[in-house]
Amino acid sequence: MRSVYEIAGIVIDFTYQYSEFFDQRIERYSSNLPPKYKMEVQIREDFLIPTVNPSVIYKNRNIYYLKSKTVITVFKEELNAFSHLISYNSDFTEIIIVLNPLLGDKLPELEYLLSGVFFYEIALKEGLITLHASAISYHEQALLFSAPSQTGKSTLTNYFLKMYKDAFIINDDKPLIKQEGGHFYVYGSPWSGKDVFNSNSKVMLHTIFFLEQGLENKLIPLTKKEKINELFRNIYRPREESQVNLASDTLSSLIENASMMKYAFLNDSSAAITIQDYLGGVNK
Amino acid sequence: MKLKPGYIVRSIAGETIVVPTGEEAIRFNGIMTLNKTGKVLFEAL
Repeated sequence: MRSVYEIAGIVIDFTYQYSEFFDQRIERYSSNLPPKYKMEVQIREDFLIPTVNPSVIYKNRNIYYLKSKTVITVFKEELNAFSHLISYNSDFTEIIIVLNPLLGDKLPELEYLLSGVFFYEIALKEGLITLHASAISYHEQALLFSAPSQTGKSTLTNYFLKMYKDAFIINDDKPLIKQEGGHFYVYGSPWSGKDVFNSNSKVMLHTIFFLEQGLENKLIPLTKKEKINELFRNIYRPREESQVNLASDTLSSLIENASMMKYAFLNDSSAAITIQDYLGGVNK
Repeated sequence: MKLKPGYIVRSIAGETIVVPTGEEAIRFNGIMTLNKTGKVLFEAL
């Protein structure tokens, strides 16, 4: 399937092979605008491995920094073959992801995960930060529940949605944050984790809540250092120096200007009420 | 004392942060925050 999509203001010509993870998620992002980026997933066994020595070898992964592009290959011992190869140019305008058909029923998920990772790289290039969080819109403001997996992001979101009917999910796994005109906005994307929940929306950021399970519901202000640590623990981390530079300004502004709290919460519906009470207090 | 290649220092919200890049970003999934002394040492290496 090939089409052009506008995701968080980024127009991309995207070709994917399997509908399992993209049906119900991606069509709402269809666009007629000219694409700036191109990402294509191919399924084939003939991998064009660079003939030079790899620049980096780490475990089963080889990275080749070539003149016109970077190539990453991953070898899987159980297949006795390369499982995937990714090549991309320096500005991420041309990304090709090649998957080995020997991966069988793992192909749709790997396609979804890898295309997501490279979309986050593009997003960084465009000044957006990808945060591991469940993002909801409530009264036209975005609330982000951020934490490592299994902490209860989606659980808290579900409590909130059950109690407050005018709330909806922007993205249940990796919302994007962008600063525009002195405000931060949260965008949805088709890469929304194991659930299909995402919406093609742009909502002004209210607060990022960094979650931990607690014995009572307690909102705790964060110091600047704690905000930095929480953000770096939960963002999609830039790996290239140029990407770090691009992210630094947005992160600085986010830390200095955006509302962030730690939220120790109980695993029941009272956790949503505490958030609502906090919003009521802040918005008065 | 020698600085390991692949680590860069950046100022984020006024704090001095050391971030791994490239190969090191694959090996080390974290950041380091430096105080004033750490910053001076890092820049001297």
